[in-house]
Amino acid sequence: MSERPMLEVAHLRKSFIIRPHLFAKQAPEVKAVDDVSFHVRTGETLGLVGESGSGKSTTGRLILRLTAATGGSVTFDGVELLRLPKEKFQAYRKDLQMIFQDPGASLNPVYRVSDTLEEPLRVHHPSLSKAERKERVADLLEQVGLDPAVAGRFPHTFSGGQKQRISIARALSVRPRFIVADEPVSALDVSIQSQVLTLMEDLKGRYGLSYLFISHDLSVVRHMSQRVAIMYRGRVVETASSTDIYKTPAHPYTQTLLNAIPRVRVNRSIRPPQGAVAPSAPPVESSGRGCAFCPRCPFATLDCGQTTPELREIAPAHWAACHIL
Amino acid sequence: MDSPLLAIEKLSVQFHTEKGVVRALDGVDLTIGKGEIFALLGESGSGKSVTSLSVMRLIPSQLGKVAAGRILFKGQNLLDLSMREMADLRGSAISMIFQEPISSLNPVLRVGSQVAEVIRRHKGASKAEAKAAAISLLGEVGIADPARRYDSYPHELSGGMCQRVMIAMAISCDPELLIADEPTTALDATIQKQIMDLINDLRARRNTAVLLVTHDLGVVAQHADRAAVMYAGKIVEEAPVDVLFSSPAHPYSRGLLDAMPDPEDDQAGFTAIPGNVPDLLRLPQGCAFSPRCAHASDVCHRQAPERSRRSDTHLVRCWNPLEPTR
Repeated sequence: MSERPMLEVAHLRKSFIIRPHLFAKQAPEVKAVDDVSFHVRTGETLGLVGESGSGKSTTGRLILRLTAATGGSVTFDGVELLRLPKEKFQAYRKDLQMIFQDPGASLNPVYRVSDTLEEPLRVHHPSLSKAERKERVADLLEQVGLDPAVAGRFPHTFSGGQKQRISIARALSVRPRFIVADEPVSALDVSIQSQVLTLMEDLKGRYGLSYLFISHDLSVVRHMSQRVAIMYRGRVVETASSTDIYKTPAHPYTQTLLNAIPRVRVNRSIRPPQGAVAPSAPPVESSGRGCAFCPRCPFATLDCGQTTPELREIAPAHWAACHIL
Repeated sequence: MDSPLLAIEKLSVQFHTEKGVVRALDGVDLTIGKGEIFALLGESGSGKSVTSLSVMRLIPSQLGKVAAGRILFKGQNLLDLSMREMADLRGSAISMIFQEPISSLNPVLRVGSQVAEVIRRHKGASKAEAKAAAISLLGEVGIADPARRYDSYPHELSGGMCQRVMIAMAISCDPELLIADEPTTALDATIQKQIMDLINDLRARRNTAVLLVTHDLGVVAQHADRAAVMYAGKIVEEAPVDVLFSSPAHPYSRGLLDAMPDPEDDQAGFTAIPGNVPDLLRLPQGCAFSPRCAHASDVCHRQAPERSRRSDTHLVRCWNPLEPTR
C-alpha cells in the first residue's frame, strides 16, 4: 500500500484559445482541463467519468502526449513524462498505450490486420525477425479472441466488435503496463459491449495491466473500475472507490448523473425523483468564477458563485469539491 | 378494444444490393394504440430503423422496396397513398425526430423559421401567425427565452436544445403519432433524461402515440408501455415492458438484459452474448439467433419458429422459450 502509484497526474492543465475570427483582438481561453490531479496504482482501473465537454478525453490524450499540456505533470514510475525530450519519451510509449472509441476510424483502412499489429513491433522492438513478428501477431489475435487466419484481411471486412478487438491487440502488441481506454465500447452494440469489456477484464488479469477507463456511462464504469473520478467542465469534482461513488455520492453533480441513468430492473411505480437540474447549461466560457456546476445546482449558495471549491477529503479516501459539503 | 392507431401487418422490406437481396424486414407485425409509447428495441441491423422509416415511406425507392405487407394508419394503408398524399401526412398526422438533431436541422436557416415553415405548410397559417405559434412551441418544449432563440442558428444551440427544436417542429401540427428514432443516443445522460421526460410529458398532455426506436434498454424500461425486441429483421418478442423485463421469454431478450451492467448492484457481473449480430446477406438457417443461443435444439437450426402466444399481450418467436419467472 505504501508504494508509490504507477501513474500520478498532478495539476494537469490544458487551455484552448478560441479566436472568434482571424482579426479578433480578444481571444477567449477555454480551460478544457483545469487543475486535474489523480493517481492510478499498479493493477488498478480508474474510471474517468464525465459528459461531453468535461475534458475527460483531453485528459487521456495529455497523459500520452497526444495533445500538449499547458501545465502540470504526469509521473509514470517516478519519471516526469511531460518534460522529457521526444526521443526519451518514445521509450515510454510502449508502456503506455491507448484504445480509442471508434475502431472504424482508428484503424488504418489500407493496412491489413498484420500490418496494423506489426507496426508497433517494428518501432519498439526492431530486433525481432520477420518470423518472430508473425508469431507475435498470431498470438495477439488469439489473445483477443480472433482467428489468427484473419491477419491478411482489411479492417472493413470486420464488425465493430471485431475491429475493437484488433485495436486492443494493437495496444497490447508492445506489452504495455498502462492503457488509456477512451470510451472503448460506446460505439458497440449492447451484446458486443459486454464481450469487449469481459475481454478487457481477462487481459488485465493476464498481463497485470492498469487502465484509465474513460466513459460517460456510469453503469459500465462501475463494473470495470476500483475507483472513479467524476469530471465536470474540466475539473475533477469527486473521486472515491466505485462502491462509495454509487452508494454515497457526495457532489450534487454526481447525484444528478446517477439519477439520470435509466434503471433496467426498476419497479415503475417507484420512479426515482426528478432531477432538479436547470433545462440548459450555460456555455463553458461564461463561468469565470466560482463552481462551474453552480448554475445547474439545486443546493447552490452565494458562495458557490464566488470561489471555486477545492477537492477535500470528506470521508476516508473519498474526495469532493463542493462548498456545501 | 377499439382499433389501433397504427397497425403494421406482415411487413417485409428488401434491399437489392450488388451482393444480393437483403431481407431487412421479414414479416413484421405490430400495433400501437392512441397515446401509447411503444418501443422497438434492437441492435444495429435488426431492422428497427427500417421499420420506422417504412411507416414514413422514407426508404429510398431505388434501394429498397416493400415486398409484402400493409401499414394501416387509422385503417388507411399508407402504402397505397400517392407521394403527395403522403407528404401531407408527414409532419402533420405522423411526424418524426431523428438521432442527430444537429444534422437534422437546416444549418443555414434560423431554427424558429424552420418550425414556422412546418406550420405554414400544413396549416396554411400566415407568416405572423406561424411565427407566433413557433415561439409558443419553443417555449412549450422548454427552451428558455423562446422569442430570442427563434432567431438562433442550429450551430449556436447545444445538442439537447436542437433536439428540443426538432420536437417542437414534430409536434407543431398535433401529430397523432410521433416516431422517435434513437432520440437521445447522441445526447449526454442528464440531457437524455430531460428529453425523455419531455416526450413523456407531451404524450400525457396531447395523447400523442410514440413509436420509440432505441437500442437502450434503460430508456425502454423507464419510458415505454409496451416493447418489441427485434433481431435480424424479425420481432422475436413483444410484451408490456414490466413483463418483458421481469420475465422475458426469448433467450435473446434475456441475453440483452444480462449484458447490461446493473448500476444498482456491484456484485452482479454481466454476461456477454457470444458471437456476432448476423450478416443479413448470410442469415443462418432456421432461427437467426440459433448460432448464438444456449437453448438451441436441433429444430432451431432447421426451421424458423412461428410466433406463439404466452398470454394475450406477450408474444414470442422461439422453439424453446424460457420458463416464466416468479
